[in-house]
Amino acid sequence: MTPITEREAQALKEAGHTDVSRAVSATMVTLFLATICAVPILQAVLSDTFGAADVVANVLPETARTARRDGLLAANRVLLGGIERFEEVLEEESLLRRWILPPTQRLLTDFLGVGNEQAYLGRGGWLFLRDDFDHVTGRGFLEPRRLRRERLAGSRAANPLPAILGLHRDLAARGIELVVMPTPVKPTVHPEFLAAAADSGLIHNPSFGDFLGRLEIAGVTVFDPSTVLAAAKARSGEPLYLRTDTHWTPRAVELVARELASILRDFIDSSHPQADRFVRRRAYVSSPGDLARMLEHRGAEETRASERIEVARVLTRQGRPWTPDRKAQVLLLGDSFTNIYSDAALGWGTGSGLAEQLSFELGQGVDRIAVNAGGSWSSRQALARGTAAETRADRLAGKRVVVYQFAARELSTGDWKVLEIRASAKP
Amino acid sequence: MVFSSYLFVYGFLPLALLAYYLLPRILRHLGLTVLSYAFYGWANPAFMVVMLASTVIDYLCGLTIAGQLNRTWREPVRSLERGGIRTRSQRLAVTISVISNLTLLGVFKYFNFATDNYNALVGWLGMPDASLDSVLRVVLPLGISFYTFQSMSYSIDVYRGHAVALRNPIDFACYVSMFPQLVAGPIIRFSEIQDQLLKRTHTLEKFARGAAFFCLGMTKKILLANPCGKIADTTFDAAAVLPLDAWYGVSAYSFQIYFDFSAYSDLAIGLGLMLGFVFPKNFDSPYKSASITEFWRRWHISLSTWLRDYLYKPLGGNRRGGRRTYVNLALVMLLGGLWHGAAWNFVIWGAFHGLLLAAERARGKRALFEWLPHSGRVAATFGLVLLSWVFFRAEDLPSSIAYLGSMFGVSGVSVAGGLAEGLAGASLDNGAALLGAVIYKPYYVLSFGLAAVVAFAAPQTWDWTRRLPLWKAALCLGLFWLSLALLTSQAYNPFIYFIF
Repeated sequence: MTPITEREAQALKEAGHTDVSRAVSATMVTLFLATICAVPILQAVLSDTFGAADVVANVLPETARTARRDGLLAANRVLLGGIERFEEVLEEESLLRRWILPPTQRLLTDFLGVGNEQAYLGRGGWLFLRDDFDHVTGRGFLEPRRLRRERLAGSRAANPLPAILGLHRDLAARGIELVVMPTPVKPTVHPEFLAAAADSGLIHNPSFGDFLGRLEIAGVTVFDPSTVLAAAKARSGEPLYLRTDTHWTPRAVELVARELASILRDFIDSSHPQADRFVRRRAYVSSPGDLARMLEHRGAEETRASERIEVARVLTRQGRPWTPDRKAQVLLLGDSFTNIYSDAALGWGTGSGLAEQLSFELGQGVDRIAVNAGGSWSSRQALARGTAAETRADRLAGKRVVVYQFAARELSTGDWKVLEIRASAKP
Repeated sequence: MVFSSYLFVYGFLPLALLAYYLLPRILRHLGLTVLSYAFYGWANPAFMVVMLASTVIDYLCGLTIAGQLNRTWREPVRSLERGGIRTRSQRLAVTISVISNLTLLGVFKYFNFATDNYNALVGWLGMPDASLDSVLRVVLPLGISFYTFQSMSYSIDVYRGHAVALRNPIDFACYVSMFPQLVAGPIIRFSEIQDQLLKRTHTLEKFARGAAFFCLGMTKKILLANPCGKIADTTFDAAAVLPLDAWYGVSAYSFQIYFDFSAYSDLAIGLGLMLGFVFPKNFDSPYKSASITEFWRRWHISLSTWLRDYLYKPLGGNRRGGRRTYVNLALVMLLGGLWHGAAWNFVIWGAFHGLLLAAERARGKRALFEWLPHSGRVAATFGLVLLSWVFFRAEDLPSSIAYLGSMFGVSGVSVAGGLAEGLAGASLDNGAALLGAVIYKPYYVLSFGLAAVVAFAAPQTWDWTRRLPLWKAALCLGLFWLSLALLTSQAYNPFIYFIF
């Protein structure tokens, strides 16, 4: 034995001897062990899902195959992906989480005023998407230091300009005009529902002005709906975004569609508009918003209650539902701001989205490619696929203008990989 | 794997305890080593190779230093004579150990920093073509700063005659990889634990104390560090911050880093006790310090004593006159800063503390503001530490300077820098006004207040758990259950020191 060090001696004296009765020790240890052991035991007994076991069963053979085929580093990547997936599934399937999270979230929301990692609580029951908040209050998305860091991290293409300018170039080569439409997020238009201290003006990311300027210098037509919405808000004072949802109201969609249509008329053949090709029919829909669902609790009345709103369904004169028109002069590339009131999966009904309202305003059909949460990448990818050489029907055939709508938050968080659009249609 | 995760609490920990106590005594270190490698490899299986390499080199170097490399298993290993003459092979072995560990640390931790600085330099010299931007980026293996220091301390202690080399490679691998303190310390020196590796007791009393440490560590992390971290993240990540919010943000960060790191230490010490080990104390209520010298006696004690014994003293410590002492202090703190992270921010943080320590040393280790009453000295010390945390937390040097500017209301409120962009001005002010909507929610204010009370007024975990009557045990468990409930609502939230 060597002489023990001063620190070890002190530690042995301080932690090695505890003034605790045997009964308290036994109770403490029993309850501690019961806490950490009961959860996996109950999960094994009561749960009827075995996703985590499936992940293990799939990942291990896949790792072995990859090791033989591509080497150990590639296998390590597969294994790492499997580990991440395993943890995710374990938490998703956790009965404890299912039982404990709703009351815990309720406590946090109703009494302590906080949302969760995805949704923030505003004033008067208004909810905000965290990514929207971060985009508006965060650093400029074109800030060189930030772009460099993202480039070195290599996880995404952070600069939106090359991708948008590339799209503009490819479309111009085919004689098609690009209209870029960065859609303002909720805190931009309604900061007053987030913080009393904020005035009711527009709040953009610090790089937004620079972004618009650079697009305009490059000759890209930009339609920034925030000015239309700000003017409407100043006029009527009515909210233009849903209280418990990330997206805008049907009224905002109609206003934006009208303004967008007035811009598009410069680029399309509108010599034979059919003003009565479509009709609007008013209806009501109600739903809890996506942000209320993200809170994952049955919380305060004001946040969990469904919102009831009036929508304007666009129908053909014959009363048939609106459908995208592949032969239209206008293609609308969009995300959930295009799909809201159109895609039933978003919970707010169908037939009343941005493409429908644009059709109504233009008096002609509109083609649409819209992918929820895919503004920076997925919608462009779908277009690229639709124009690929092996595709029979070229998605851009007959198009005069492409409107590229995406949520402005994508400028901070999106993956802006440059995609190539085929130069000409298949002969 | 993070201690404060579903997988660890309900998966790994029960399994590890079960395996450990079911295994016969002779196999426990092997079991613990396997579990530790699994724990470590969970973050990235490839990291295990790096740790194994470090372990093998230091094990062989240790035996060589002790002159045991070619001896039989049965021959007893003896400690070298302190201050005795060492052979060439012994000197070579300790040099190989130190250089190999520093090389591992250098390559994995400082390669990116070196290429970034090289690129900045060639850019400044107008030679952008010589830039190495396309060169690979090295991924930092988790905890490398901790286990290389531990491993190095083994060879050095054996060389100095402060410790006896381990013949059993499993025992040594168990020491290096021990999962409770592997990723974020405390840095356990071999000499502090070697006796326990050979013989230790497992008692109900020890386990109960360990459980109490674990419960309190979890409470600090979930109830105090994470909410304070949310406040800090919101202010430090913002493009613009109002002065009051900036102070609130950096204060929240000071609580976050203290409770995050001391939580990890409590969890590690608690887990160690459950496995029969007694690890030394790593924190001693550092924010109650009345001088920077005292702060460094109470903050991250395992690092500061490591630096003292393996760097400051070999440099000459305070034995070579006043001026040399100040230089040594500043140098040790500078390197200590760089140990935390490969960025100029950390160098400045270390230099700032080094200068303050040197200044206090010049005054006979008395605080710079000796004329103040004790509470005033504590407040002033905390203020200085608070300012240094800005460099520690901000993303880079320009961001640190801009944040300090925001705290003192200098040059507008821009944190982002370079904001001569069109509509930025009014929008930035409003963006700053929005921060309050998140950071002043009752939950965050409550957590911040509690953190302040615990940091400045509560006893530290060691003292508080020395006596464990029923009410304290019940409180520990109650806080543990509350933490576990809140854990379900929190996303992945790793410990800050994981990245160091």
